Amino acid sequence: MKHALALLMLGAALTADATDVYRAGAAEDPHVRVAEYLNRDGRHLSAIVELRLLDPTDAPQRMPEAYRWQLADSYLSFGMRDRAQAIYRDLERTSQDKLRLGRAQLQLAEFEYTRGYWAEARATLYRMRETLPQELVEDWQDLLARVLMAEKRYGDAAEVLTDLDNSERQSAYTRYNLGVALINDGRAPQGLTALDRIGRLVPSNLEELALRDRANLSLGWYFLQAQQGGTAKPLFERVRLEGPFSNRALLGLGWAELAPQGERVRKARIGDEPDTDASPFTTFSTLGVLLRPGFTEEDIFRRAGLSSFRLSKASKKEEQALAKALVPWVELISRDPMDTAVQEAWLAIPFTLDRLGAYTQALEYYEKAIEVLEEARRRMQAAKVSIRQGRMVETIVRREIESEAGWRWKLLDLPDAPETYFLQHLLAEHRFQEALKNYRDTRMLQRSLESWSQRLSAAEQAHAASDRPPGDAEALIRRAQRRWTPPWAGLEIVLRAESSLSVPVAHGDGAYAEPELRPRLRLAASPARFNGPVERARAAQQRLADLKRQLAAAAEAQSKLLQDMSLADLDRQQQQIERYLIEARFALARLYDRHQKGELDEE
Amino acid sequence: MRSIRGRRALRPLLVVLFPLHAAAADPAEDIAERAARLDQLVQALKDEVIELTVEAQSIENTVLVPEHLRVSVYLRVDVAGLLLEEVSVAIDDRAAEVHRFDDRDARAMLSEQAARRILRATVGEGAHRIRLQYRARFADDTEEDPPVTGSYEAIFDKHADDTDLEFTISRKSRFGDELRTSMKQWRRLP
Repeated sequence: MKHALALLMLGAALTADATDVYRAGAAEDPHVRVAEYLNRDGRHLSAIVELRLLDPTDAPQRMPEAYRWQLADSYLSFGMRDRAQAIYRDLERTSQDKLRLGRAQLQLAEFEYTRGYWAEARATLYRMRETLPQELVEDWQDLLARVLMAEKRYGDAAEVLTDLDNSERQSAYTRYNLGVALINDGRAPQGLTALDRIGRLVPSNLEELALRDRANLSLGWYFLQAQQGGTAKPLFERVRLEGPFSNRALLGLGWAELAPQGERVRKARIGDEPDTDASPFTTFSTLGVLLRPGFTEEDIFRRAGLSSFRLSKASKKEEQALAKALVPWVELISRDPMDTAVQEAWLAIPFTLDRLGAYTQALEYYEKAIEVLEEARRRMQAAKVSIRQGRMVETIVRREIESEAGWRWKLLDLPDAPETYFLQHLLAEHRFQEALKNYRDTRMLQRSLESWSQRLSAAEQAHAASDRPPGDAEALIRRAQRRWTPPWAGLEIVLRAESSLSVPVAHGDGAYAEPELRPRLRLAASPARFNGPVERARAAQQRLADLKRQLAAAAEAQSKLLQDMSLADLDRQQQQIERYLIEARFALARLYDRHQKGELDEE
Repeated sequence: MRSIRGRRALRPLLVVLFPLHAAAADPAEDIAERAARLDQLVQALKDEVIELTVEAQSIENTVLVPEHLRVSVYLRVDVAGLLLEEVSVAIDDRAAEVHRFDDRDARAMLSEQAARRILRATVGEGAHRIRLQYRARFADDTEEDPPVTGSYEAIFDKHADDTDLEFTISRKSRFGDELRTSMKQWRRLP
């Protein structure tokens, strides 16, 4: 039985002896623990305010370590890097918890990386290298490599990932990045071997499965571009038939049938891996060829209406290759025509049919391809109109407008808007997500200020209407005295030993005077104006109105930035569609022309 | 001749799709600069908003819950997997303040260091009665399992400073399933 019994303690009066004590800002301080709760609940702004109320002078260096950790973590989570960094730097000097410090610095560098401050991220990571705890070495390598790759310093990234000889402790993602870095650094054989290892890993979750597909897709297209169709084919076949990379794999598989088959490619060793590859596969072309029963079914041709053409134009060998290439493409054109891989397949099929001499079907497919591409262009234009209206971003932002998650906010699902499909890749990129977070934050802050405006008005009215007697002035003074902290409290005075000392009379005119120790006292001027709650509330309302205007302007600029990013991405995609359309129309015109001239009959 | 034409047709398509291909130029440089500038601006505005919110919260506290009358009640859960659903707390004969926890709120309580403020009220100096009731479930409970409930009642002494009370729900013993609620009063050192 794990359920509680009600515990009733009537009359259990707590006396002063029963109370526990805490220092403001210490780990036991309920306010610090409330901040911990708020941070875990994703309410970072509230956590910061809770902590800052403990330290109205905004001097965190004078507060206990527990307070500083909590405040720095809250600032970073809320996307305030500069504030967080200042406190972490201070903690570097005082904290003995090197692991926590290392984790915090990695988080800081991750923030800098995702926000595009790559030089700063690199500096943060190099700076922490000397004190890096062993437990964080792989995370540090992974992040630094990503930063260097973002800066296109692929050689440096590969060095970072290989010079510690810890390949067996690195994640699959890190090894994938190593492969990409090596290839882009001109060390293709080693890079391809690294990617191939990922392409053969036994996945333990969906993410690893997607990573494996991605590695195989990258390898496949690499070999295809290098005119190694025979090597590319089994790599494309390793990619799942249904998944985020399946369309491009099917497209590549078709092209691999038509590309020159090339030589067998031998694998190369990567410097940081032991030479104990137990795999019987030593070349890429013999790796993991999977039989896909669906691809050999005859009726797939019937499904596409391709069973009646005459295969007489190409050589026997080429004819077989062309027929094989059609198999994945026919499957591909049954998928969403907004995908560029599907659009390309719509062009590749008539191209192949033309090569096979099936001119009538080629004509029909070119005409269908033009229809598909024109529809894609129409939807693209609708998406652009929708972006200018800001519908998608607005829908995303409105869903969790109150959330104070800041930098930790995650886009979990996408709205049903015309542009969502086209922008799915952009939406997954850091540069878009981070700008979206900032836009979301400005909107949330605007709402927060609206709320505070009303609360301040309510407080002002409550104060005016209150008949509560004022507190005991003597008690207030005693409390203020108890809580007064001298301005020098917490400051560290660095003492050093002088190598030589001189007596005071050795300098100046030789006269020695007692130092003036007693400060001269005089009456302070009376305050220019009373600063009670009402006065403070009115001043706060003025600041608030000004800040609301600034936030509105920032939100507009951030929204425009998101719009421009989206439109630039759509323009790029539209140019692709336009290129395909030109190709399709030109090929169609050429077929008609040849038909007019009677060339098709002769062929 | 025909095969050459076929290969030429293939090449541009490959270049577009190849995922490892490094981009030649970065047309988004302007956008990246704007993004960085705006990020700095938003950070600065957040700073301003925090300053203002701290001041506004301080004003509200001064007016509605002045320190010499203030009592703050906190709740901590020290039982792994216990997800709170509802908590109510009342002082003397006043109406109870009720808090409902969604899954995220309840999970946020499951940290050794976390505490949630469940009440902030004003009371005069002297002895006061406080009552706490809660309803919760264990994370591995089925729909059929009855909810976990508990309550606690005690007298506390309000002094001239602001008063912090903390309830803790914990296990009665290390290996048992029975829960207990305790309360302690905190005093801030000068």
